[in-house]
Amino acid sequence: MIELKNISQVFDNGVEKKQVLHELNLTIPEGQFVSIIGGNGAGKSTLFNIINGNLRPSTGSILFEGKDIARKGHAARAALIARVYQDPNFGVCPELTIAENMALANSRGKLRGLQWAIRKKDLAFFAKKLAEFDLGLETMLRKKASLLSGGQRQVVTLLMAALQKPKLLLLDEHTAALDPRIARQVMEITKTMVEEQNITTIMISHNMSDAIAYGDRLIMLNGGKIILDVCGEEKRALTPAQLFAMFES
Amino acid sequence: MTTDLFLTSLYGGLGLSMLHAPLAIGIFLSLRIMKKPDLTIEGSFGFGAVLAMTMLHNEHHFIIALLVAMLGGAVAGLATALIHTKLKIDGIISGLLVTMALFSINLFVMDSSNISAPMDRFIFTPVRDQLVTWGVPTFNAWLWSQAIVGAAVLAVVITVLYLLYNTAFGLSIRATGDNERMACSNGINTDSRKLAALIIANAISGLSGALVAQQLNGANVNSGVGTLIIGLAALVIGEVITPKRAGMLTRFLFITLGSFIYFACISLITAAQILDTTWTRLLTAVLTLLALCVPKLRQLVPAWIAKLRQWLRARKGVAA
Repeated sequence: MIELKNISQVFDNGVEKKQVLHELNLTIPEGQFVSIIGGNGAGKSTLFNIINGNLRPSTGSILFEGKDIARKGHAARAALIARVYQDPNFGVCPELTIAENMALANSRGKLRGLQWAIRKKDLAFFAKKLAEFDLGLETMLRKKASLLSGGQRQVVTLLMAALQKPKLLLLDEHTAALDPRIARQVMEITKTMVEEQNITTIMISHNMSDAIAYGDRLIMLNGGKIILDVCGEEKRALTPAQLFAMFES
Repeated sequence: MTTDLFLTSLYGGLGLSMLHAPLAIGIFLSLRIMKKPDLTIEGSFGFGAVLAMTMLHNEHHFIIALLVAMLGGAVAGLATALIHTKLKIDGIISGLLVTMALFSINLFVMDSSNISAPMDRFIFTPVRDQLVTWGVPTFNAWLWSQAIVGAAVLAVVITVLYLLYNTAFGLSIRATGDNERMACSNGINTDSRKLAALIIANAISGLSGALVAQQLNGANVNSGVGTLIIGLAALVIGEVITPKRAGMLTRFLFITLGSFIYFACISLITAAQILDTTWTRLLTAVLTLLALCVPKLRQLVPAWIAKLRQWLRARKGVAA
């Protein structure tokens, strides 16, 4: 379970101050899939940056299974939290092979010493995992990640994020840069993966239909505050038009 | 140019290329793997030369001299990396600052502006003596000893680097250079990897400096000046001929080949008296520029040829 308590974030560039998050409180039980929507500047990405350690909140605490992780750095939190970015180029090392990229993800949270980065059994494991997506990626293990298309990269990134099952998966508009067909495919893969492994997930999306269709709970942020928090039947009954109306108001 | 002179120039070029190849590999590690131009490489090359020559001058064994030179280079790399990662100073400026500081440190270490040591203490000497006992003429034996020792040291360097960069730790260094954000997201402490990468690159550069100082029979405060462009030339030439999907080992080997091509060109041009040594640096710049242009030319030339063919066909058509 992750608990955000009284999280505020103020950006101060020396000339003016801007408060992006206002004493935000949020509790997400284990295994829940939460979709977050909101306009530009609503504080969605700031919230993600605070959760995964890119930013230190101005005030408030982040409790992860009861322990405050606010003092842990970005790298240390990576053992608990995986994040998939909007830009497919952020998720992989283009000069490394797919196998090497997956080996990096596979050793997340472990000591990276002088043991071989990739062993034969790792290759078999990576091939098996990639084969589950049925995209033929398992035959490309020795190829550089730069040769992958945007959609393929995002699928590999998604798999890498879940390879060492994270306690929390952050999906930061991870289908926004993909064409609609590939985006749908990636969303389906996301759903299957999250459900099968019961991963606690927070997904930022600008796609209202996706936000309603996927996940157990929907949160709308506006001006750094939660203005809508629904789940179950209430969520399923929502329509994109209703959400859009809330956006406008 | 006589055949003898041609061969002697080639042997000389071979030796120099082997001694400078670690420098080119050091540049490769910082520039291509970490994607950061590190100017400390030039400083640590000179620092390695000065340290090694001072150790030999003080009657230490050449192995100790080489190890101290590597350690000196590593410390220079560490200083740059700490300035860059902890004080958040730009990498190029950090390198410049350390290189400038090393100038004074070199003067302090040598206690004068230059230093030399008896040749019988050099790493090449046992090999040269062995070659002489086998009947190789003394001068040629000296040239061959440089090539043999250089190749042996290079083989050790390449093997160690190849193994290191295929470990989990090495892979995390490569990931840091390739995509720092991704590396960080996967739990890699990227600052520590930058530190490690610069330490390794500069230690190798220091080693190269120590070997070249023995080849030149001395070191001075200007040792290392201009070596960055020599290493860069070797690296760029090597990269031009490297196969597209080459792994780390192949890339190291082709950088060595690039170093040989560069030094062979310089040696042959100066031996044939096409240009004297005054023009060496200009020649280096031109060779590097040519090598840098090759990828662009590879794209352009086929397009030019296609256009020329099209034009010729059009002319034929008009004539018919």
